[in-house]
Amino acid sequence: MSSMNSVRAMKARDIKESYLNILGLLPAYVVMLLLMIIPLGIIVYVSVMTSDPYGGFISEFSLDSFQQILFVTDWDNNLQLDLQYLRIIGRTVVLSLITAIICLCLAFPVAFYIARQSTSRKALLLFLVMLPFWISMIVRVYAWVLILSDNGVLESVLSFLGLVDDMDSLLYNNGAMLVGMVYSYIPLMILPIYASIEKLDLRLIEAASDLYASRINTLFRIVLPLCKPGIVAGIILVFVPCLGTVLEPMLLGGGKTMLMGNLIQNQFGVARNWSFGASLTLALLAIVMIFLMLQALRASRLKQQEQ
Amino acid sequence: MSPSISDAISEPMNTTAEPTSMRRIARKSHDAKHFPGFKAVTVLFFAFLYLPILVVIGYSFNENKIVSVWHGFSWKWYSSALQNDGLMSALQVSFTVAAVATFFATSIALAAALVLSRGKNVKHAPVSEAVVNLPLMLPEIVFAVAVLILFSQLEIRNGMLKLILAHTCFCIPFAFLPIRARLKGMNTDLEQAAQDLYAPPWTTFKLITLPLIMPGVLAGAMLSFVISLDDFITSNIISGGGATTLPVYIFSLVKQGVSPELNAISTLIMVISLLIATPFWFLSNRK
Amino acid sequence: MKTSGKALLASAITAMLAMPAIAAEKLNIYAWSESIDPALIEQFEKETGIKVTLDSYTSNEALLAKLKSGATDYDLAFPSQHFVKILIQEDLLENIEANKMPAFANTEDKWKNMWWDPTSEYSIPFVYGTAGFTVNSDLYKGPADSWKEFFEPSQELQGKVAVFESPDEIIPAAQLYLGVDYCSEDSKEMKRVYDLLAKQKTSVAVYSSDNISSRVASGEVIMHSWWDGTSMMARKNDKAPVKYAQPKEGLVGWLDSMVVPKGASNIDNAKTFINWMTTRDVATQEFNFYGHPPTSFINEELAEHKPGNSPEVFPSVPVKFTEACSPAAQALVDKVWTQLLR
Repeated sequence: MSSMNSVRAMKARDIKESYLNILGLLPAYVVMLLLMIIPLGIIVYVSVMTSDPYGGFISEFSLDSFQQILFVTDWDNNLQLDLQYLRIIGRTVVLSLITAIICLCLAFPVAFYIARQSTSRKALLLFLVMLPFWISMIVRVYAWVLILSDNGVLESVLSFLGLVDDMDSLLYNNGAMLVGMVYSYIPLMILPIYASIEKLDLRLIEAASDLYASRINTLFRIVLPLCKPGIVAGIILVFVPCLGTVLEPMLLGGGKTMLMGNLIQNQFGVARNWSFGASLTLALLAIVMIFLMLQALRASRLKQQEQ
Repeated sequence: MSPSISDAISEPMNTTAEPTSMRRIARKSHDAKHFPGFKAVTVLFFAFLYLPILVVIGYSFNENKIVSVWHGFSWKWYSSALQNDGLMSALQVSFTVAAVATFFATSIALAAALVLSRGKNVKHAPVSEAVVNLPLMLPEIVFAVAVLILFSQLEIRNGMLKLILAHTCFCIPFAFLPIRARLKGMNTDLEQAAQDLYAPPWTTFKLITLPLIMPGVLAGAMLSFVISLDDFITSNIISGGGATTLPVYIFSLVKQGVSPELNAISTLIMVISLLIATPFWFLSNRK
Repeated sequence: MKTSGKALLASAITAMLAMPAIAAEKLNIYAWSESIDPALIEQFEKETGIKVTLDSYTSNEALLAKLKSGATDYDLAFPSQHFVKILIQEDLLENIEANKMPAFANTEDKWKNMWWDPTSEYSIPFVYGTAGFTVNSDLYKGPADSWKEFFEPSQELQGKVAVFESPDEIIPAAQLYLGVDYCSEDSKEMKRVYDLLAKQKTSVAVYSSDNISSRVASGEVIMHSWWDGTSMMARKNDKAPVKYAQPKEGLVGWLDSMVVPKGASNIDNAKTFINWMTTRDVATQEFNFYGHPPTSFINEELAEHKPGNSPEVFPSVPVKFTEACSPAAQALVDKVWTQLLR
């Protein structure tokens, strides 16, 4: 009997606990459902509706917004292949990749160096890495506007040194955007790489050097492969937000060289083409998904190989 | 979101599983573990990271109206920034939104984190974890556009309400990660002991678990506060009358071109963020 | 939730309580960038106890987009005439019975019951002016009496021309130059407009409506799309070497009105502000600040801008007011612009 009772008590407890489990997760689910999942569904809906020329959308099915990514109706109302938006998408992906690569090249030595310091110095250096990340994003981009603009800080310093006379503005080009993006997102690359270097078994390096491996060999054949999880995490952390970045193209790109982020934002602003904006948003989402899925595939294949 | 990413965001220092091993080996190390040039890169990197900020701060004391031409030291841009009505109301909006959103995000995240690391027989835990971290997986512009359309369809007028709802949503993962990390790294012996002594679950939670994870909760709250304070993309798209946040206000000034007052405002913002971020850092790294 | 939770909750509650306490009476204004004298806002706040927040935009399209996205909580906006008509049509404005307001009585008769608001129920006219272009008179000695110089710039202006960021006033200007009707629904005619702008683009440094005065004053660009009154204030206040062109084909006219967006929460405060802005002294001070002539009565003797010293706002060439385009015409305008800026 007693065992029966305790079983029943345990069951009751289990049920109570499962209620508690649901209750604890419910608020998070409700918020995410209402503010992320349903709105994403609405984006899909808007993307297949007709844009209202004055803004907003009309509930009339149309695939024009997707067609607009690739084709343009010319002045005689013929459809023509038009690579303009594809070029913007391509530029966004390429600039984001370059940003991630530059961040990686800079971040790896820094992370490695920090990992080799004493515990207290490590804490300080990591704090210094993150500090600019905590202070306002807009201020960090503004700093580059200040430095690169016509008659800006860089120009006055260079002309003070007598190196240049009169410089054209360094703003409003891909390079300026790139600098801004690297500057904005590099802390996100350093942290995960640092974490994986910390986990590294340094005896492996010692072993390599005992076996007379050169430094370069040790670096590329031992250290880098072992830090791969951190590097991959860092690349994701930098690449994904870069794809949707808005401030850098608007302030450093001058709105003339577009990236997907400000192209999308424009469609909900002055350009008033919600459906097109929605379809571009889906395109952006698709790129992110493909990228993440490739990563996941690679990771699972690696796991299989290990087993 | 792979675990290494969440670890990196929440508690990078915690990955020092064996804090002594590196040092022990380092002491008897030889050249192989020092790569030449890494130190130089690090120095250059920190210069790259801090020079722009120093430029902003430095020129905020420039007497001259043209920022880049130094005319002498002056505090005048700070006094004019502090008398700037637009700035003050933006500051008020930002702080209100950040405080309210942080409160809700942290509460929601705490509940979710407790279930996911202490609950028994939690079904589909990885799915739930992914749901909580959903905002981290999308570029922010996607979220911004999504809530813009949502709010416009629901005809929610109150700008503050819109900001609070959106900020609560994207702050949840930032509050969640440090709490979760704290719970993960925590020894369950004490909780176990309390349970063995027939302490009711609520008492165990109140007297044992909560005090132990408090640093994580505080860290999560501060992280969400900073993230909310700093948000531009979403706030800019949904902003309306009387609900202009600080970054959106600063953006409107930057579009008008550089000015020393803007430098002063930026410096003030940096100081504020610093005051919030520093305790966060030390809390989240406390063992 | 012991200490920090309570502290957080407390701070959240205080913050929430502080909001309405500080701003018992509010007015959220959405206005053209730097259009309203800050001193006047301060004076209004002092006189009425209403707390004003001011956000700004730089194009009618931006305003339309914001209002059309719904639920923006602005109480007062300043669209130009054709956008007043569109906003009424789209049911985005409150009927404030403008014709019964004191502000209506303060308005000069010639601006009442215009085509964009024939019954004067939705809008009170505010200021009027033109859109044209300026040249930097230090750097440019050539002629500036035709849109030709702007749309087909000479070699020396390569990369030294700047254009508004939205089509609202640029396409009508191009239409004036080419002799195409405003709001044309003829895609062949609009193709000509597009071709002209596309050719001009090779000389354009930037498409922007922000920060115009500094771009002009610094000599970064020589020719810039601009408004009459604003460019006049740059000339008078900052002594900028700027000359507002008087193209013989005509200038693009606009008239901004004060309107209350649908669903505004402080309609009465908005009406108080509208009435106040049209009183003689205030309108005069605003004219002196903004440079664009008000549509309400002013104290002529106190006005600083007179035909003798203000050629910008007393144009010597014809002015043609922009019209509200049909959706089809609007679609063509947007098509020109998207293709241009791609």
